[in-house]
Amino acid sequence: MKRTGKKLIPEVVLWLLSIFIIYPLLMILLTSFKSKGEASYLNINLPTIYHFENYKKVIEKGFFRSLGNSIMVTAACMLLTIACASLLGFIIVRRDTRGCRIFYRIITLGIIAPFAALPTIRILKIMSLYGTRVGLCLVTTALNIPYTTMIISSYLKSIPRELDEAAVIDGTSGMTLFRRIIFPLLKPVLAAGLVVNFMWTWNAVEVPVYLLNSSYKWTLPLSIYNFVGQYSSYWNLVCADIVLLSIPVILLYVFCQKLMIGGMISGAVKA
Amino acid sequence: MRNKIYSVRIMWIPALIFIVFSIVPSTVGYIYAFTNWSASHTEHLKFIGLKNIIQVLSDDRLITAFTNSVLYAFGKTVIVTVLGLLLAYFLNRKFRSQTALRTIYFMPSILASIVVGLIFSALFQTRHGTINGVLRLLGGKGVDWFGGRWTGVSAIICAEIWASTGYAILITLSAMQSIPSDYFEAALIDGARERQVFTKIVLPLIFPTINVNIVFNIVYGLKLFDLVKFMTDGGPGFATESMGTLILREMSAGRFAQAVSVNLVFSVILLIISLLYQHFSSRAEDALYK
Repeated sequence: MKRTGKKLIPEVVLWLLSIFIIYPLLMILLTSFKSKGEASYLNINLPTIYHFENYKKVIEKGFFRSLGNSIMVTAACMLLTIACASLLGFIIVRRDTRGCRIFYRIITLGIIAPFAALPTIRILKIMSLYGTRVGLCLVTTALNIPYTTMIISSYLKSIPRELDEAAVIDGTSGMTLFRRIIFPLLKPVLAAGLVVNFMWTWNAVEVPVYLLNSSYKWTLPLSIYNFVGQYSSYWNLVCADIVLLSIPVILLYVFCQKLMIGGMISGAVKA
Repeated sequence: MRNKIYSVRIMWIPALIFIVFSIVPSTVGYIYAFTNWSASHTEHLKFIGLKNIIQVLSDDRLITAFTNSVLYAFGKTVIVTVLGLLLAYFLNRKFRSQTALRTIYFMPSILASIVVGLIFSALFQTRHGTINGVLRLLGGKGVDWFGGRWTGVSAIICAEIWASTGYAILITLSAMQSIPSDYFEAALIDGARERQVFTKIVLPLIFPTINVNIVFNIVYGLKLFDLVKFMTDGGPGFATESMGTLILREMSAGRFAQAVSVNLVFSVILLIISLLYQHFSSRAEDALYK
């Protein structure tokens, strides 16, 4: 009897504490269905009438354009980052020369260094890529490469070199070796990397704020920020916008929880 | 032989992307800090030496932004690490709703910063916000959270803690679960108490992992941009500005070279702090294992 009681206490306390997380999320979800007046109270009372048209109003305000931008930019960044990071990891880990180790150190310093906003803009202007989505993708990729390369490299180190050697004896090398032998073995870490990169790029604000200068290229978080500025007293619409932005990430979290958590924590656990 | 099999040519394009869009701007790019670049002066730049750096360093706003960034980084790191350790310790026991609880606690870590920012703007709102509601319920008075420096900074730190505790829990938890169970059995046979097991076995073994998480927390805390932008936009005045938002503020005011100078100072500070932390924590690690 005493044992079960002792076991139960932490469980009950943990559930009580989880209110701190559930309450705000519930507040956002419920507010998104309220009328403007009810929404301004920012509480978790149920709406008297469910106003599903809040979502319709939000969608009519240029939602699909920003959604399209977000999807395009996120997809391109995810694929480009994974491709770059896996090739960098492959060569750096397998060559293992002094130069490679120094380059790896420099790459990991990229996690610490802050985003050099104006110099980046200047460089993009020189290449006439400033204000374009292509420029945003290239910069985002460069900024996401350090973490992604780090998790891929630490995974690569656990793949025995003997596998490479067997293939090399059969005459494969370079890209063929990567495609046939390494790439299939890397799949678990690449999947985790894709999921993490999706989340970062989808949610990103700082880089797009600096690099996108016209509203028709804005990604979802930017258009929501702008929307909040215009309709700050319409909490119902703001909350509906937040819910729409979060749905893809939450779906991914529900269906690929293991991959997402694995990808996010492997940088800290294996380092 | 190895050079032939793993030809450097394979990583040329990836390396080029990283060098051009990350290394070059954050090294050579800072050269613009020493020019007279501004909104009204974009061509034929001239070098004016250390003038911008000196001007930026003696500016009150930089000192405010720097202290705020330090608060955002260390305030959050201390609380998140302690909370992560405590909650992970309890979550590590076997009970039925463990998976559900973990899912809930990790949820905030996946949400966009604009979502977290707006949630906390709502919670700390003066008239109808939940926090003031609770304060009034307890017989206190409502606080105008975003009207002053320290209240604004505290509200932002609360949002940071809410967003990153789940991540700390999971990291600590996964480190705890990687401890082989025979360690605990051996300790039990030797008659160790629960507290001894925690301080003598668990803590030293998970320390390296927690340490990495502390570095991440400090670095991301110092780099905090989004939450400040969305919750206070640096206001009132520039009282809650962080280093990151100060750069944007300078740029919007057309003072481009000054913005680059702030960026350069910021980057040097980040480098020094993370190197110092690594130095001292490796010492602490040595002490813990002896």
